[in-house]
Amino acid sequence: MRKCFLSLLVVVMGCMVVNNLHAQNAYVTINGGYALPVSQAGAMNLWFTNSVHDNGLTTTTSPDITLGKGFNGGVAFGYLFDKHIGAELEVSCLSGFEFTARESGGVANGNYSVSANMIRLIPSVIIASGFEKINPYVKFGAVIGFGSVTNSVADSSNNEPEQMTKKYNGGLALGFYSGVGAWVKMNDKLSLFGEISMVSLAYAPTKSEITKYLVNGVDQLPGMTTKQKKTEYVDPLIVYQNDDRPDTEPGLGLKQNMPFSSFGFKLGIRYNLNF
Amino acid sequence: MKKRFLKPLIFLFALNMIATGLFAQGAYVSVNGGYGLATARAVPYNIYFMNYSSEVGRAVFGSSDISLGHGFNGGAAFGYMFTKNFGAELGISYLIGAESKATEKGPSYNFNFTVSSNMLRAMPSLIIAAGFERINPYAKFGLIMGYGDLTYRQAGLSDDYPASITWKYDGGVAVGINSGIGVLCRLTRKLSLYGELDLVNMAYAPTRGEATEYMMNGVDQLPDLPVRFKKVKLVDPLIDDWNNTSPETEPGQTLKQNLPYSSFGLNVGLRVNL
Repeated sequence: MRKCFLSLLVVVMGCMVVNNLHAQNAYVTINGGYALPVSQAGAMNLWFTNSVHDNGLTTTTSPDITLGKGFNGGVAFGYLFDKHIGAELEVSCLSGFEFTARESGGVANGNYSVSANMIRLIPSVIIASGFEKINPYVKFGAVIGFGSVTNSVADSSNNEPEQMTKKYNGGLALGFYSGVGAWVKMNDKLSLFGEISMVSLAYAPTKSEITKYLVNGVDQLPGMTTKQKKTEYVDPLIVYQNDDRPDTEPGLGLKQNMPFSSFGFKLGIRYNLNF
Repeated sequence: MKKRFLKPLIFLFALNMIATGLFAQGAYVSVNGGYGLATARAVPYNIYFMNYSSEVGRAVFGSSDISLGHGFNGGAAFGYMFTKNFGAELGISYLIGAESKATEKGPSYNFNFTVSSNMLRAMPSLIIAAGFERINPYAKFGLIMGYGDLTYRQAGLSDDYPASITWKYDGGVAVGINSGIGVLCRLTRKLSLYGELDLVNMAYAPTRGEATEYMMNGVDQLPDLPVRFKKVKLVDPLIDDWNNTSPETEPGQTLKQNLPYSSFGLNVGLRVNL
């Protein structure tokens, strides 16, 4: 797949050489927006169940989510080789929406929540229509994400209510980005832009740690071993019958993807550095 | 919410075209084919799909993340370039999905799981092109709507008895986002070749399923199986009434959940200017 992408970049660059392109514009942008869920899926490795038991009825709703939902803001540096073709590198921060689920009335009685934050590097190729005042463009590129996921459960199924928070991080998320938007020229230096964007991404954290564990209001963390508090996620996961992994080392779990795709809108300001 | 975002942008583009005095550059048709690789993979919840083996003294678990958008696709499109830089296209594509496999192996059983999907997809999109003469880079962005089915099969040995069951799921519409970046190479005034990297961001939640094969030790079990166990409706929310079980003559019910269909692939095609 990398070969395909590189080939395309070579073709685009070759195309620019053939057409005797010259530097048109370097620019910086600042933007902010909100992303909605697309390609939602289940997150197998999380505590997240929607099920209510009441009077002989059990109502279960889909726990499909995407942790890419939420506010995002970013800055980018871009360069237009001519009025039609350019490249951009964006750094974007996702402040993820908190999803909640609830299980009640049965053996378990818990409230679950999960949210994520992620710093994303987005290198992309830009193709613009080249119009003067309102200039539509399309972007296509990669996403490299450094994220963390926070998953909490508050369980009151027995007389001793429990609260636990687990934080996942480590590893890289790799995916794709595309967007369609329009630059609206305000003056020679300044443009406003609006962009509809799509992120296709999944993230498999490589480690987690329990950061909060209260039973009946009493902190349990000091009495827990590293093996109980920390987990490393690997694929494949080999579990030995005689588990001789010491308590001073993290436990092991299966590394699996969490969904991070999104579809959103962002607004921003573009400042031309030269023209 | 998506519509609210899309409408102003389409309006903005339309306004822009009017403002810049654009004129029609031409209609075209294209045919294409390619292969999509899995991206944004996830666990398929609605099906039992597990990589596990139990060996002496240890058990090995493997990730079962998949995307059913992985596979060959071929299609055709009708497009219209309003100017040399700006156009719209409606593409129809058929996905012949690759088979994803998993295995569960224990001391007295050995099962293979396979799942694959086919899907007819409609893709309306906006196109922005650099407008160069001979080698013309372009990018597109739009929606994708899919009408699909998927086939899931478990087959293997349990206590030396062969067993297999196949389920077919369909119903419902998959909606997602489609985009691509490519290069159009002009061969003649009428004919161009193109290569395109395509990104599909989509999930699909089928609404019904039916067992089409159920063999135990060489004996077909389907004729004696009540409808409740060979047909299923996938619903969200799923309401189980513990005091009133549904009749055996009606399909059973299970929770409707998304299956991953995202892909990233390469398409090559031929475009004829009309």
